[in-house]
Amino acid sequence: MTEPLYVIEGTVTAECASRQVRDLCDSDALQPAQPIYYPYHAFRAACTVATLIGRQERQLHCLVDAMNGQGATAEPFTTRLRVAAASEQMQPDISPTAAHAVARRTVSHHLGKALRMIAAFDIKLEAEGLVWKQFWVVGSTQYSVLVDSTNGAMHPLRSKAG
Amino acid sequence: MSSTVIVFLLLYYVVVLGIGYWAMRRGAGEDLEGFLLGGRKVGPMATALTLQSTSMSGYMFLGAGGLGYLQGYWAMWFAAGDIGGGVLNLSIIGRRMRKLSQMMGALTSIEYLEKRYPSAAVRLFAGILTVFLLGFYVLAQLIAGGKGMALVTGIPYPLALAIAVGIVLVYTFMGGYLAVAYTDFFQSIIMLVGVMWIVIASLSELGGLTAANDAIAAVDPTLLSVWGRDLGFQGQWGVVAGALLIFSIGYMGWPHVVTRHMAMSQPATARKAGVYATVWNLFFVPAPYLVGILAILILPGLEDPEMAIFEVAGLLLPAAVTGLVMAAIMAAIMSTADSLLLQTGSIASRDLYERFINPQASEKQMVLVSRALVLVIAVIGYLVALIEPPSVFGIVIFATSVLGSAFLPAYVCAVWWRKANTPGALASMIVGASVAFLWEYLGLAASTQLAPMLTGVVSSTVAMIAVSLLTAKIAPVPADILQIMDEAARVGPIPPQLLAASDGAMGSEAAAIDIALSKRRD
Repeated sequence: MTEPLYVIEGTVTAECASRQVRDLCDSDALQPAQPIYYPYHAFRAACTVATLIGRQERQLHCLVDAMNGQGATAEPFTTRLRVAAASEQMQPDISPTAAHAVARRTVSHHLGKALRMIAAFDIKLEAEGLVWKQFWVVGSTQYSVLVDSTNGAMHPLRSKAG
Repeated sequence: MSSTVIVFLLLYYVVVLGIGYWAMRRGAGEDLEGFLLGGRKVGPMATALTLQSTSMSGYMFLGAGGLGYLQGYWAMWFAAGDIGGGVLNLSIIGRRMRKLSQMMGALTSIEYLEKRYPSAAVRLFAGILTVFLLGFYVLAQLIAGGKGMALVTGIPYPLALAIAVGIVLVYTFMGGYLAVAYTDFFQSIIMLVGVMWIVIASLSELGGLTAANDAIAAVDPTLLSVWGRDLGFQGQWGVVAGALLIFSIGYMGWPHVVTRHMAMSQPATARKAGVYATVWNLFFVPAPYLVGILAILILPGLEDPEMAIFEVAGLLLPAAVTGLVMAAIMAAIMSTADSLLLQTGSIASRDLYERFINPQASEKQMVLVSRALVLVIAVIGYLVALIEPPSVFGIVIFATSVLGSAFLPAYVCAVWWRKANTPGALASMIVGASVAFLWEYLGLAASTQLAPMLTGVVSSTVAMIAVSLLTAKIAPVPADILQIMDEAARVGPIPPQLLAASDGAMGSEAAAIDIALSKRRD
């Protein structure tokens, strides 16, 4: 069964991901990279605050991990509709309402740290729905690695690729 | 101070503002906090120098110089601990702490403690203690800022103190401090060059280090020993250990330092940043102590030994350089005060008010609580600093001893010891804080020859181990926490190059995908 998803556009292809891991590990025994789609609730925040050096307006993107509810600010991104097999998708656990509260807290926390001030920020939060990030699982029978398709960041996995 | 000093002081702030606006306009400013999907990374050298610049407090510019002036080369014990402190912290709790805090979804260091040791009491005790002691630390910055401003501008201390407190409050309430990596980087370079310049000028004035040491020996030969003036600390290894520990492992108890570990980017970047920070420390950290020692000869009979560095700079440096260096030092002190107040306000509103008093609190209510607390700290700080200002050295040593003793075992065991449980953590925090506090308050260091930091850390560690083991059956560590710890500790057959290149920010996604893949295979 397949389903269309809004996937964050990335530049790291399966070949790039495999090459990246192979170059680091100096190993030819890698399995082909497998895609996996990870869900986030996306929000766009328009923030305004008056500071000593003038009115600060900031546009922020916020992604709330739909599996465990953790929020983070994000670079601007574009999405593309892509069809993915159900077996390649993670199923979201966090509701849009819960994600909204997390996004507000995340944006507020970020602004306080970035502007180094204690203030009630005027935050207009717009929900943009569920977006998906494509990761590549690359590895061998010994180990496997998760590669982020948007920036090539890597993280080892417990599960073996084989 | 001459008008040239004031002109260059102002010039410094103009340049810093210019760099800040330039960085913000080209979108490179923001901060060191990671953005998801980001290509917006700050390199290891900028990361290191930024962290060093923002962590250099009034202690380095007043306390360290004052100690060197009063005790001679004994002061170098403190410098020795401080030089390697950053790397030690990074090695002991850095990577795992980053991973664990993210997997547990903790935004603040106090929240992290409660998630690792699930109990409201942990958060309550840790929150109150931290707010109390950070208040003390802010007091040290206010005194340093006031004294520095009085000397630089020539206005009376009470007014200078009020201006310093006012500037910090305005920054904290209204923003405007351009806390971008490039301005902090610039500030750290000016500080390093400036402090080295003061050292070189001092040595040049005295005919070199050998000649200076000969002259100090003529004044009081005990100042050349590592046992302090009149050999007051001779053979007191318990006190020496405390001096070494306070800025090496003591930092691990500081919530704002631990928060940095939580925001750390890739381990590889952090590792390189650690190397740069150590190199910076090697040059910078001993310098203020040394200037204090040399000031014994340059400015004998100084009324306030804690002003040694400012006074020596004013006497020996060209006016333009004095202006630039003092501006950088003042900016660093103000920046540290601002950061500490923000941290204190955040802990009071989120970790105490929202968590225990009003869980449905709106953002506006939380801001009100934060601002009220910051205002109270500032007013109390101003009054204390005005009526009977304690030494910056004394305040920082007191606050660091109690915080380090209370939290060091709790943070270290949180990442390294699976058996560390909630009763153990609570006992450790209470015993450590109480022992260090009483040791300081009752002045037991003199009679026992043991520093408060040493007795505090040893007793809190013993409490953590003993209580955790004794209560293991009645209060076991929850299975989900053990699972997260195993995940964070896992290395397995992963090639080391891959581990070094792994991105800690992906920890929670990796954990969720791991679980999903395992279920599918089962």
